[in-house]
Amino acid sequence: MIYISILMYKRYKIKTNITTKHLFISITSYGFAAISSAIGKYIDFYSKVPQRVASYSNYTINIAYVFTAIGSIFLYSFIEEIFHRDHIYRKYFFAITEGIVAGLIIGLNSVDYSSYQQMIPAIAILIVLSSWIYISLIVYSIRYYKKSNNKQSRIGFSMFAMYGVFLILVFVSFLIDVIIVTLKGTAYNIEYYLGWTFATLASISAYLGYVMPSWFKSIMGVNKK
Amino acid sequence: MNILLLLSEIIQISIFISSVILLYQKKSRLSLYYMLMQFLLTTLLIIPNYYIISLLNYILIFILIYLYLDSRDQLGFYLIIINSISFGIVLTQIQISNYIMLANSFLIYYYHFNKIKLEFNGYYKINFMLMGIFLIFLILSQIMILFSLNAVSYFILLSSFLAYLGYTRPNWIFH
Repeated sequence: MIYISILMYKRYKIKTNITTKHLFISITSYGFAAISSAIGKYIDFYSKVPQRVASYSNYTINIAYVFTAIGSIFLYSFIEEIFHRDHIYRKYFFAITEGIVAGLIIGLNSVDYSSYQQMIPAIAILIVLSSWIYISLIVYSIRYYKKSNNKQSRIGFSMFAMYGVFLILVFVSFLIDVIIVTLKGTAYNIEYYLGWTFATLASISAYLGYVMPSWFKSIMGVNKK
Repeated sequence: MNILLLLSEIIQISIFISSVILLYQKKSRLSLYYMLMQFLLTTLLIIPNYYIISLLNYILIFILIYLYLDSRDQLGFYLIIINSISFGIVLTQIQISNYIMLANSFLIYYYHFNKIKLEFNGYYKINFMLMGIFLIFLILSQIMILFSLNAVSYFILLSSFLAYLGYTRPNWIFH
């Protein structure tokens, strides 16, 4: 994910516009979310303190949620730019609500260290809002895919739709992971790793759909007449 | 009750009433925001509650950003995000709220002067300059709130009065 972020940054340096910038910020935020969550898991794994006493991963997953909220704000801004929507109030609505939720999580995380239960309402709102953004991305991508006759554009829109699908799958995987952790008490479930794998796939889809490097074009047969 | 504070409240309420009348006359979105801003300033002055002051001050900052908001303005968009995040923190940790608000006010101040650079011509000049002074007072009131609630009341009144001058540009002073 960080490698994709670096590639996006390189693209931004070449093509300095708001759309590229916001996609870059969005992907980087999701990357930071993955890193912060992974750090918590690693500390928990190597720590001698039992996870029931002090769970670092519970603390860092909240930081990951904050980055997810920021990533989603910029993703919606990217959607507005790329699909030329004029829902300026919706853009500010997401910026304000996701921002407040991120602030609430930061505040609660520092007041009551690693208390996951208190944050459930804030996280639930975050999931609802972010899913709304991802579903918008899928819907607009499919709509523009159907409208377009150009092969390159169609591939781009299908990649954006996949970006949205993978992002939803990230939440689904984490939800299953939380359920398993609650019911069985087992940490390090396959669903957790699957979640971040989906996040990586999402970043790759976004990069391929937006930047569309020449090797990808040749694989997809875009340049062939 | 402190007679000066009472006088401040009376002046503030009259400014608020004038903003309601202005809204009735102009019926514009900007005058609605101006009226809301005056309403919040009046509430800030009358209700000396630390928590309410912090929350209302935040809403005031949102309105201030909105007053300057241009739909394609990126800096405004980033400010909205920063402000929203700090608003969320304030809801959970009131004790650090004033420091965050102070930082926020500085950001808005910076944003405001960026705007002046863009619209530094004729008609808007005085308006923006006065709103700039208003923001300076807002920042000062943020500093004062850390020490005393009474002192901040006078700053709120001054801020409100400058906002009144900046927005309405009354003939009796700008003639």
